[in-house]
Amino acid sequence: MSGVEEKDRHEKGPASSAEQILKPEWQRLEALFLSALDLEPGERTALLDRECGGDPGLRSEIQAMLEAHEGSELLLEGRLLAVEEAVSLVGKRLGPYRLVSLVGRGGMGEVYLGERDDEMYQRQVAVKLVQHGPRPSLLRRFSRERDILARLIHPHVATLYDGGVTEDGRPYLVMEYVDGVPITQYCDDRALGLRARIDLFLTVCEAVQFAHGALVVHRDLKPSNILVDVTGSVKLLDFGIAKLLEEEDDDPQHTSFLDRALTPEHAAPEQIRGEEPTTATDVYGLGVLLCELLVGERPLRFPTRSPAEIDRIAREVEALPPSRLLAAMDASARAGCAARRSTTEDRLARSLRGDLDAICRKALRKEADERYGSVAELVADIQAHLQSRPVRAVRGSRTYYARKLLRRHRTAISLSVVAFVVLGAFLVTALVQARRIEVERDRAQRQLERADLVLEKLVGLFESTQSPLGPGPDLMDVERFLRRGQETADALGDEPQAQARMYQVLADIFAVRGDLDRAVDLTARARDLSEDPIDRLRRSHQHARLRARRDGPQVGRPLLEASLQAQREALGPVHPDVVQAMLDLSNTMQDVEERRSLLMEASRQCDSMGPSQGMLRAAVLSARGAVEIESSRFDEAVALLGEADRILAPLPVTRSERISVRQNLSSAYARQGRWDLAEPMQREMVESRRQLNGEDSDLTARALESWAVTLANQGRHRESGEAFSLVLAIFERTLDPGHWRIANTARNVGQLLALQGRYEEALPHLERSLEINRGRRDGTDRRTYQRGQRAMIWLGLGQVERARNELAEVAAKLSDSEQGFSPSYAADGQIWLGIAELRAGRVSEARSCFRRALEIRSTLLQGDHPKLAEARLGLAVSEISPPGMDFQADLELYRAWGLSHPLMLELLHTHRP
Amino acid sequence: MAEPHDLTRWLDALQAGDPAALDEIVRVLYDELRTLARSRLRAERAEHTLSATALVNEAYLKLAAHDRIGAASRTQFMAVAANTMRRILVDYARTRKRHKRGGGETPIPLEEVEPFLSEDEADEILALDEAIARLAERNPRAAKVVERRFYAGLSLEEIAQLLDISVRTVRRDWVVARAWLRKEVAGELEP
Repeated sequence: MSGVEEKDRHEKGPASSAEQILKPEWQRLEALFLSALDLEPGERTALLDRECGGDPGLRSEIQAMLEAHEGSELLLEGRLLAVEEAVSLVGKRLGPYRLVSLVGRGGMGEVYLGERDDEMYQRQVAVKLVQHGPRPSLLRRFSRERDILARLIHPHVATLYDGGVTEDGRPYLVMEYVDGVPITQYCDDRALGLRARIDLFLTVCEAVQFAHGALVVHRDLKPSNILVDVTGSVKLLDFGIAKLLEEEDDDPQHTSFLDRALTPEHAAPEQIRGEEPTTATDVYGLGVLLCELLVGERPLRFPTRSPAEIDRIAREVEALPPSRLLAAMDASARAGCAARRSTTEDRLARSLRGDLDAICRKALRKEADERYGSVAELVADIQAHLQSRPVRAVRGSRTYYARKLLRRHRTAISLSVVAFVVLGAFLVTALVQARRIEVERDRAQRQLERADLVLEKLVGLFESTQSPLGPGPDLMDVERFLRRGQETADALGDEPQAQARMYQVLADIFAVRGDLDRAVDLTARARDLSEDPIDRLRRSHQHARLRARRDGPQVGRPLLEASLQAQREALGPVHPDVVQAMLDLSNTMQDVEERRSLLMEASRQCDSMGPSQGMLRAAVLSARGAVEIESSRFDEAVALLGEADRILAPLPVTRSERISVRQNLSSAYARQGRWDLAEPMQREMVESRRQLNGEDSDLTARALESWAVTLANQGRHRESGEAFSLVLAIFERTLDPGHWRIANTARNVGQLLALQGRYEEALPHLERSLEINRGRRDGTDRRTYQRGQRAMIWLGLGQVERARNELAEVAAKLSDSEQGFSPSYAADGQIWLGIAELRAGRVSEARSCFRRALEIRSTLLQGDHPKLAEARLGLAVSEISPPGMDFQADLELYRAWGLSHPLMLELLHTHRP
Repeated sequence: MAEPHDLTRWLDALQAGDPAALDEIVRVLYDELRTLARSRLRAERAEHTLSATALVNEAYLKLAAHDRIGAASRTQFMAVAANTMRRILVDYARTRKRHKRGGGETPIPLEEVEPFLSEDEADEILALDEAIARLAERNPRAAKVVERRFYAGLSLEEIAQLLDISVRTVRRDWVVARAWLRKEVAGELEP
């Protein structure tokens, strides 16, 4: 670590510290600087001119130092580091007290930590000193505080011991030094629950009430003035701006808001307006404090410090009650809040709603006379809440009172008993109503939890760290967070539902991060803890899905089938969970037909569920679209995926669901030959992936690849080449040098060069690609195709025979059904060979090649695909035009195509139909 | 937490040149200061002037609670504390910077990020730390002076006592060092 001086053992080494051997440059610098300091500016310049004649560096350094000496204090000097004035008093004595250190700066002056220094006893005190050169009003205020404190002798008010005046006429107070922390922090540190916090709050109220009894209004009630010491005792501090109610205010400035340096968050509206405070002002302050204790947030926020804004907000904006504050937090804040209160989020929310909300509301009313009339009333209401008695603040309602009744007599109440106890059938209905409302609310609550803002936010967060190469939050933090999360979850043994939910969320995160083992384990645990059968089913399904992911479709499929079955039985066929299960099952199916039929059924169920299940419908449509792409039915694919895209349109473009749909859609467009539709989508995809997954992510590379291919098809060879080069760079950075994808990409780069007729440049890339694939076991297939591409380059370079022989072999291999090549490749091989034969002057051989190519391509492609045109044109050039062919149209189509081979174009150029 | 009587013993050992004593003191101090700092830091920012000096003093008081430590030992203690305080602040500053880098928003509030440090202050702390190290290469004594003054708030007299030099020399060192450090830090943080 920097700055550690390990050798600094003895401070009192005589010779070594007194005389130092310093480098001459430094000595010079010091001497010059110190001399310059003593001089007038004019003389300084002269000195520097004289001494720094030949050394501009030295001069500027000294000048900078002089400036630094005069002004430019570091930020830190005001706050963290020792400050001149403070130090001057430290070490001084005031009466029997010695000032040990400066503890704080208040609005009026300084507060020191003092020590009573005689043999009798030791005691720490706080010595409050008025600032230098106090204004008369300050002095008045100071003596007022003294008077006030002298009246207030209470176990929860910091005691005044003594007072006096220093030698230079500064008054001071000696008070009890409270070694404690602000009440909010005290509660957070110990993760005190609501009840304990409320108890502490009541103590504070007691102190304030006492002060009111002595006709003192505190006016500055905030956590930093309410400390709790190690013994758990609350102490109220800083009656510095407190006011004696009975006195006349002879200092008009005293009431100005700015003068008092209040924090507006804690100030009552009338204080902000500058009006006379009353006990109701303190009630407001207590309301704010209560909110802070309950949810850790203040009810009213002031984003700027401009007086106009502060004024407006204080007048117009409604303070939010605790449950609303809680709801407005983001998920992690909420979780932290609940954790610091040793409870769960929903328990917390439930506890806050109703009485506590109402109490806070009443304390925080804008109009002073609408609040509690006194602290005693506030206390009374809180106690009523604690004892489950009706709280005054809540507007009475039948259900309210009835519920209270129920709660008070919680043990073994059945409806009939209640009916017996309660008067009148009417009331019975109300009770039943109340119960129903409660049940509804709980269910809605649960759904909210499940759908989950928490999950979404967290999963979204972790999605960007999917690739270990991607950016995103510091992995260390994530690890720690997860570990803590798990620890918290493990500790929730006595709250199985909360524990289960926590496990669930953690499992989802692990799943996204790819840590499937932990995800599987945690979902199993969550499932086993589930009491609610629906939850259990769902988690069971989740478990099955993860197993499928981790252990493969062999393992996953039977599990998912079982899960689907169970869900169907429990929920009926038309239920979102069932559809989801079908989707998941379909992912494990190898057979396309099987998949299609399952997904069709899923689609039907979706349709009968109506428009509410948008996301699910989109997912099903997307899966169906993917199936159609696989079956080469691109028109159907485009229709399905287009629909899915429309459904997802309101979502931001970076959502992964949206991205995968658009990716599939753009490939479908590409396969249809509609490059102009595909290209912008794919370009957007690249950007999204970059943002979401990072520059070096595999997904980004793939997006770039798709885009590059489309660009190539559009004839934008240069751009395409650039895109492929980017892909290559990514792979080179992230993969092993022998990776097949590097081979592929190199090939693509080469291919694009070849398409531009840049054969010489193209060749090395193809060679590289072939080289890599030579070393690979599974490289043979790829090699064949690449050999073909290389041979075409030879052809371009004029090596006709060599190319022709090679291509004959390649085409044969590609057409060999045993080899399992895609028919599209076979067709390509035939085209190449055809071109080579034509160049070699062997027209009839060429003809059969093109004929074969046309046959194959006709089964694969539809309509006006340039590849079909290519085959037809080939035939035409080999002197047999296929029937019904429109040469000109095909020619134009082909010429417009990006992937048209320059050699073929040459041939066409010289051909006359 | 320190045993009541250990502190004196360590300080004596420190004076006698025992290397282990320094480690012991630093270790205990570090924890103590950190705890104190944390409790301070959570307090309302506008109200409490967090001062390294105050922390160090409070730590001293705490640790010396049951012990009678003479004035000389106290200053010695503070000298050690100064260095520790410096380290702690550097720690905090680094933590602060790390969290800021994560896209501006701290999505995981479970970690104890000390928000009391603004980004500028964090930068300054680190720059200052390095600048003091550079100063130590040029004028080791001045670096000591500045460290004890900045981080422990020792008075010129106390420092003079510790280093066994005259108050005037201390003041000289202080003035030079402070100007030089201010200049260096400002230069470092220039955009």
